[in-house]
Amino acid sequence: MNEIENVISLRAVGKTFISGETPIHILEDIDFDIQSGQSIAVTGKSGSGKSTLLNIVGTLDRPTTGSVYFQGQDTSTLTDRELSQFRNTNIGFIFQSHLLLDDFNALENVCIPALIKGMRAQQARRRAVELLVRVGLEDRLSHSPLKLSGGERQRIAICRALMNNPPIIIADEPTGSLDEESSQQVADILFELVEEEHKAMLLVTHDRQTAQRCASMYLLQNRSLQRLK
Amino acid sequence: MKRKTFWWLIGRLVVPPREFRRKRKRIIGSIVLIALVMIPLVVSILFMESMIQGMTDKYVMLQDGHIQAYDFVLGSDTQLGDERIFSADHSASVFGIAYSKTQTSEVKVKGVYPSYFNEARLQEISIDGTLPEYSGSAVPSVMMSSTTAKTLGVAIGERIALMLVPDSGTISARPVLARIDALYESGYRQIDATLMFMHIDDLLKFNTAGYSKRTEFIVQNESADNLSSVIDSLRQTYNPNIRWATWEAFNRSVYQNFMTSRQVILTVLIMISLVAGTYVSSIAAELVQDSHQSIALLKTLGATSANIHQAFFLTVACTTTLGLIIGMGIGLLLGTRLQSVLLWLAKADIPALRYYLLDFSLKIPWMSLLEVAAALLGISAVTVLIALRRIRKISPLELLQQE
Ligand SMILES: Nc1ncnc2c1ncn2[C@@H]1O[C@H](COP(=O)(O)OP(=O)(O)OP(=O)(O)O)[C@@H](O)[C@H]1O
Ligand SMILES: [Mg+2]
Repeated sequence: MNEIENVISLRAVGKTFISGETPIHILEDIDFDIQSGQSIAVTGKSGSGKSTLLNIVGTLDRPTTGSVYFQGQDTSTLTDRELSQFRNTNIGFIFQSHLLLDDFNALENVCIPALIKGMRAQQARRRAVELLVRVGLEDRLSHSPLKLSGGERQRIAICRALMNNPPIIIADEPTGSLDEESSQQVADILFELVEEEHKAMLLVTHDRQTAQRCASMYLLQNRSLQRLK
Repeated sequence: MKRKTFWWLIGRLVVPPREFRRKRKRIIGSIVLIALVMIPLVVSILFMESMIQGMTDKYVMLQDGHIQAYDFVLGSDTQLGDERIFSADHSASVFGIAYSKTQTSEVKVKGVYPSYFNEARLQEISIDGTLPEYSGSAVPSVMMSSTTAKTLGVAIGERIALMLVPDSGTISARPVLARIDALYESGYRQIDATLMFMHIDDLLKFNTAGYSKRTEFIVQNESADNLSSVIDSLRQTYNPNIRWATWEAFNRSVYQNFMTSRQVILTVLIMISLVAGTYVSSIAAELVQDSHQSIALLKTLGATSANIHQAFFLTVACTTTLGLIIGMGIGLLLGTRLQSVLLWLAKADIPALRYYLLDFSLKIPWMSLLEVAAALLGISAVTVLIALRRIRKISPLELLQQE
């Protein structure tokens, strides 16, 4: 098996929360690989630990046991500071509630990851405009997120996730808070862009139809992953 | 993070877009508040320092000089070797009582040569009439303050009687008749109330043995704070056994009064700016509280705590500095404008204000202003840094748990 092919590999990952005296085991002994360009859907009941798993894959949280490898490198050896830089360049995040900075307009929101990375403002703008045009928001560039619809906000979040050209997109119920129509539209745009840009994607969704569009499907149940497709 | 991004972020946090009325109001409000604290501080420092400087100048110029040498008389042709010395003049003084037909007033008669009123001294007083010349055998001429003249109910050309009290107890006091040839006004009642001038030879004529002569030295402005080194060099040039004194040693209580009130006022002002400084940290805490989500999101997107910390610190620093500069500017402007009000008050002769010096020239006391500004900036920097430590504790996960 070629490890380099895998963007992210989880090895014997477990996660236990201690709430009060009693430990709550959420994940146990999970082995799991995401290959470059591969899209994976994770489904499961509410509270089954999907978000917990995503946070661990996205290095926002550290596993209690086991390790997360990114392109063969163990991320547990990185400091918080190094992890910040790592996330900035290697992982694009999309969340359920389109978490945008309300103080910044659409274009600026998309630019932020690039600016944090140190890209020149001019160059960042050019790329951001290009992405926003592709999601059909060319006439919303200077709008405040507060004045945009949920679907539009989520499209901005998609652009932001792709901004630094990361090898993998992590999306936690990206259409979860949208109505059916805009949900469909956002999903279309997400899959289209991920495919065009050859990104790997880890997608958590309740919606079976959306999950079906991924190359592989997993069910998170009883603290472990079960392959459905 | 690149510097440019940094400033972009900061700029946006300091001046959020128009949609964020509340945030904008808070930033502008804090700038205004700091400015409002600074304005009275600056005005009081400006007035206090200038007034004390003005009073000091009156004492130095009219009463004692910067340095006095006792029982020491320079020859009239003696060259002053030291460039730091502006002038040296003989003087003698004696306490006494002045009588008009109806009133009496306590006086301090000072004997000087007309040359005593050089350009530096003439800046401190305005004179109406002719300076007292040596009278020979005739009635000696005096110059008194218009305040004393008012107390005694006399005018130029009229006569008064003086009862002078000699230093030495063995010589008895005797009354002397004198003619008022000039009136002066120093603008400072403390001096005007008693000081009266006479030609030194006239004064000495009355009782040579009783009145000690001395030399008053005025030094150049730059040396006014370093009198002891001037004295050292005078000692070497002239006689090491001569008794020397500085004006503050001579007026120990006056000087100490000035210094104590200056220190007390400055301490109070610094305390006020410290309180304002801690207020700045509450602005910082509020900013962090308001931007909790944004901070968690920025961390998720790859900004480090240090980046965000720096950005917030600079934001608050800019706000504080802006308020400080605006406050200082307005304070200085207001201070210089208010001086005309003071001059008017001085003319109006309000009894309650009589013993304050109101007619002084404004000098901007940069050092004291700097101290107060530094106190404010220093304490806000420290308290803001403490307030901003919360940024480190905000985890990107908090963002997601709010879902
Ligand atoms: N920091 C934490 N401390 C304690 N328990 C936690 C913590 N974070 C999550 N949990 C618990 O872990 C379990 C899994 O949470 P998680 O958010 O991963 O579920 P989920 O599958 O994403 O659910 P949903 O579909 O509702 O989003 C839940 O029971 C939750 O209460
Ligand atoms: Mg979840």
